Amino acid sequence: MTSQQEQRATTLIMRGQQGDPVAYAELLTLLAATARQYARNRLGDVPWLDDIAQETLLTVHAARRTYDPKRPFAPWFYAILSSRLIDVLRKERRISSRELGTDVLPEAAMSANSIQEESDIDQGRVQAALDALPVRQREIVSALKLRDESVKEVSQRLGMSESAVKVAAHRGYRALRRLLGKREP
Amino acid sequence: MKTEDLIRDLASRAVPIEPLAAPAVRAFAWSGVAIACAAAGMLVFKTRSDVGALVHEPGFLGMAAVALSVAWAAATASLVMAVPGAERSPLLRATVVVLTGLWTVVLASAVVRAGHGFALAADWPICFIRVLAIGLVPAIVLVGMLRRAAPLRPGWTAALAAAAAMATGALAIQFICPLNDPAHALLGHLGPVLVMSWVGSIAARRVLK
Repeated sequence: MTSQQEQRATTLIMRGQQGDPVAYAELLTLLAATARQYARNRLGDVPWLDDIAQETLLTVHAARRTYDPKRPFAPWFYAILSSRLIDVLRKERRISSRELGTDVLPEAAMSANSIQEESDIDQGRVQAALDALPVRQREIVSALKLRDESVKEVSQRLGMSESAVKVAAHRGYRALRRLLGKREP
Repeated sequence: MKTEDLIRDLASRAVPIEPLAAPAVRAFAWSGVAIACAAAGMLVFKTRSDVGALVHEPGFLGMAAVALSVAWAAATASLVMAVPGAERSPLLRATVVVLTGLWTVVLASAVVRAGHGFALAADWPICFIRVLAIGLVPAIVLVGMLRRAAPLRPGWTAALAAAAAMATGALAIQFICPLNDPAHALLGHLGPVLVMSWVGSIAARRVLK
């Protein structure tokens, strides 16, 4: 951020604090571009540059009352930006260490063992295991996994909170694993 | 969501807001609450009978000064940390850690010197709970102040806030508790500061959301 941009940003955030939506939108546009540039300089052209910019904007919005107009703008903004950059980076690393995108998943990735394991679980056994679950768990697991309903839809239909649906589903999956003789992950 | 849509959405929510006062100003405001709660605690639980003589004892005054310094430094550090870019050096945080460490070392070495371990520290849970009770309102007020700001490192911020509130309770309990056993002081007076700081650092993301 150049000193000219910083001066402009200071003026805009002060007007934003007074409730001027046009100045505030201009500020956020300037900050989004700065955030993308800052992240690109450090990480290269990674696909989550927009995530960093958006997370930064959300934090700027939540933190805007902490900006003291008597203080320089850049340290305030870059503290938020570098913090969000680290958060997004950590999140991306966590995801990439645990997940494999389907676009890079080779067809031959299944080992002979896993194919054998897959075929071991026949539909009848799965149905029997499902039938052994308590009614509510069975309904939730079936809705989420067999009928492709969303958590929100299930929670609305059953009159439960979304978290309660997730918890019940998680317990259901664990029970299914146990019933099918699979190891816990 | 596209960034442009997010900007439009956030700009539509631009309402006039009052910028927060400087962390030092808010730390003074919090100190007022903390002092009032410590005084209320001393009124409710009654001060020890020999408090008049104790205030001339360097050892007693030293421990009270450490508790007071931890409370003030930790509260100020947490409020500074809740303002992005306001913490120019980690000196204040380090001061809290050093003072709390010193407090722990002094009490632990006194326990060792006393030679009876924790055998006489039976009543410590009473003081532990009283420290929690006295520190509860300062903790709630400080968390409220921090939630209005923007802590970027919630673990540190919440741990410091908990230390500040519990050190307030620990300071008050020194004037209340008639027991001079260091093991009792370590578990019942300093214990809540250490335990709640740890709990604060774990619960930070939920508490300061």
